[in-house]
Amino acid sequence: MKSLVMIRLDLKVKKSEEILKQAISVLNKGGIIIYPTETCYGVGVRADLKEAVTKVLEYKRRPEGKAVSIAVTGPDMADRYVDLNQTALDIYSRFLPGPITVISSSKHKLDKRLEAEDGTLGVRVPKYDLLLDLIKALDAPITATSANSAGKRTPYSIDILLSDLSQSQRDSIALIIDAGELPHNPPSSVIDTTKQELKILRRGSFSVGNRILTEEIHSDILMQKLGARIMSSYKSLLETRPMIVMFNADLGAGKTQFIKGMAQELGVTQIVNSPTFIIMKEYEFPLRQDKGRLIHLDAWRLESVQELKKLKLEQYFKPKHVIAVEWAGMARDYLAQISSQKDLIRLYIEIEYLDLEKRKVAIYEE
Amino acid sequence: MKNEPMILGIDTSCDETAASVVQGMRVLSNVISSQVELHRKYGGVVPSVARREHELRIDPVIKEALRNAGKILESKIGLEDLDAIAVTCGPGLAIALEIGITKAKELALQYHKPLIGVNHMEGHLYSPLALNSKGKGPIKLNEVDFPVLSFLLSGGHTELVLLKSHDDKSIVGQTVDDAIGEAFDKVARMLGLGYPGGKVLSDMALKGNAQSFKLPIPMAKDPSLNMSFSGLKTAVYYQVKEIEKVRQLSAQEVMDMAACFEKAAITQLQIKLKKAIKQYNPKMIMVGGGVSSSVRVRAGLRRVAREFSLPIYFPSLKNIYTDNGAMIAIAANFKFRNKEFSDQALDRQPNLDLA
Repeated sequence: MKSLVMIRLDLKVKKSEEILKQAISVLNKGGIIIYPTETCYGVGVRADLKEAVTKVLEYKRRPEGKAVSIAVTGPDMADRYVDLNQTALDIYSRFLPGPITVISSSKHKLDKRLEAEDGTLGVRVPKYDLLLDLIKALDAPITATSANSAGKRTPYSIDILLSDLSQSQRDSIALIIDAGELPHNPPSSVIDTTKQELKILRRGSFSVGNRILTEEIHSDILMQKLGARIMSSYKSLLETRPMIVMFNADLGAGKTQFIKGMAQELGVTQIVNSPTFIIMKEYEFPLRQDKGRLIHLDAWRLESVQELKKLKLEQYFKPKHVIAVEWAGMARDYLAQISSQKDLIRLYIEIEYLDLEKRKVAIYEE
Repeated sequence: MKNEPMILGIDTSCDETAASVVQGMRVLSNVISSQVELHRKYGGVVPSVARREHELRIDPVIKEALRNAGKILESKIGLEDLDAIAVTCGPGLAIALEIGITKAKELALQYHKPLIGVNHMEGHLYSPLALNSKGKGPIKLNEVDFPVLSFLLSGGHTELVLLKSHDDKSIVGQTVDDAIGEAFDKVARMLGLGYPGGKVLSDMALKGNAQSFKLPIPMAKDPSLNMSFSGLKTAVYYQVKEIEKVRQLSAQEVMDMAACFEKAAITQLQIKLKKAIKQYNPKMIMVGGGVSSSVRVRAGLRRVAREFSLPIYFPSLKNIYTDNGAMIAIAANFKFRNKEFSDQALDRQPNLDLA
């Protein structure tokens, strides 16, 4: 294909219908355009043309495997290319069009090189009428990535952009829509909607074994005291048996307070704080002449039983060990299965939110 | 600068597989797994590579770190050119730490290099000392003036650390429940901003009104330097829940709540930082960890520093805030000088403290 000659259209001079017409013609031929957005200048090709995508990846000089977002007109068009879950739909309706890139699971309808390694795709609905008109008329998404190459200045004006580009990059551009110097708005914020689905591990209901206690708790301190009380009635058994305590409760219900109480009773001197980020924390406590260990696990960030298996919890199922698992929910079956052979003390604790101050705690023993 | 040791730093303490080559305090490369492409290596797209698959990522990440460092120095860099191999030995997730340590030991043995075990927290703590490839950065090593008060603010850490010297560090305050970054991420999720959404929460907060919702400032009256974020998170949760009984939060309300939450969290940091300054009279303040990239957090801490006419330093390089290998190699410099090397018995220490 003979290389196109770069055309620079000034929005202040040319009529927008005329610009649209030219842009559509370039894009349909697989050409590269530079366009203004509410953040900075972007580089676009039709995202559904493989050769055009190759061109834009070459232009960006980014290693393959780095995702490139697409721009669409709204949720209806996005739905053709990604799975929109409730979180995504809420974001589209509340915040878009606007400077936000929404990450969703890809339907793999477009070139895979646009997707991230985990099969997700970023989608933008730019708050820029000319661009939305263009995508609508095209009836196809265009790539939405800033027009600079990796590591170069954010392009708020065409002159800055062009001075940072190499000759071959400049040559690959077929059309520039120049809207002058853009307001220096920061790049779009990224919202990942794929990692917060309540996947299998987090929720589920217990109701197993014998209920040994139901109590209403009115403060954090009382929740700690309850944890200590429960621990004290099992502590003497730890010499010969391990113990696992599984929690099923909402955010902010008081799980950590309960576990703090358990730890205090066991004689843990360190501060027991949230293991959410590193998933699992270990604490030592004195037990007669020996040492015991408290394992504090938070399954919140785990997405599959497979991930839980990798933690090899079985190694802790021995006397003098207490394992407390937050967000045990549906991991219960797995945990019950791997602990079934052993002479384990098994407690299930459900904490229910009644009101701002009040929680209902139910404890089951199996 | 040529005479300074060239060190490979490896971090696999949690989600990221990271490797970096530094020369002294100068970062020559800093690679984290999310940037490195596994596609080509595996001949096609890996459908879903789970997080924390360190075994799969560690070799390509180290290779890329060496390659990028070679580009900076304009000569090929191999493992044989290094002066030491440093690795995070804790705190972190045991099974994740293991992978990095095993790899570091293997390379140290194979290439006859000294092995250095590094505390992950020391990495964050020293991250403001990282210089770019041209040797520029917020503060030079010889400008460090003790005592230093360091504030670690990340998804896994919230600690106030006092450094009397490079060999005398102690935690003087810490969170009693959630880490600050974790609270940011969880509140973002409550507000429908995805997960992890700490960064977008901060972006939204910039457009919100920080006076619109009433939230508590936890531990404000507590005499210690300890902090708490769980109660604040819960307060947001139940206010959102109350509104959602009737309707969805509007876009503006989301931004307002983000602003109120961020303000309450920062106010607590300010209160504790002031208290720590009065108690320990530091000569300077250093801040590290992912949360220190938030514009408002920085401004809030700067304000306190200014009040006491103290210099304050933040990390300045890309990818040096969040978990990375460069900060590990930077921290390893101190041990390299003292010849504090580890042997093949180096083991993971998931609960490692600062001592």
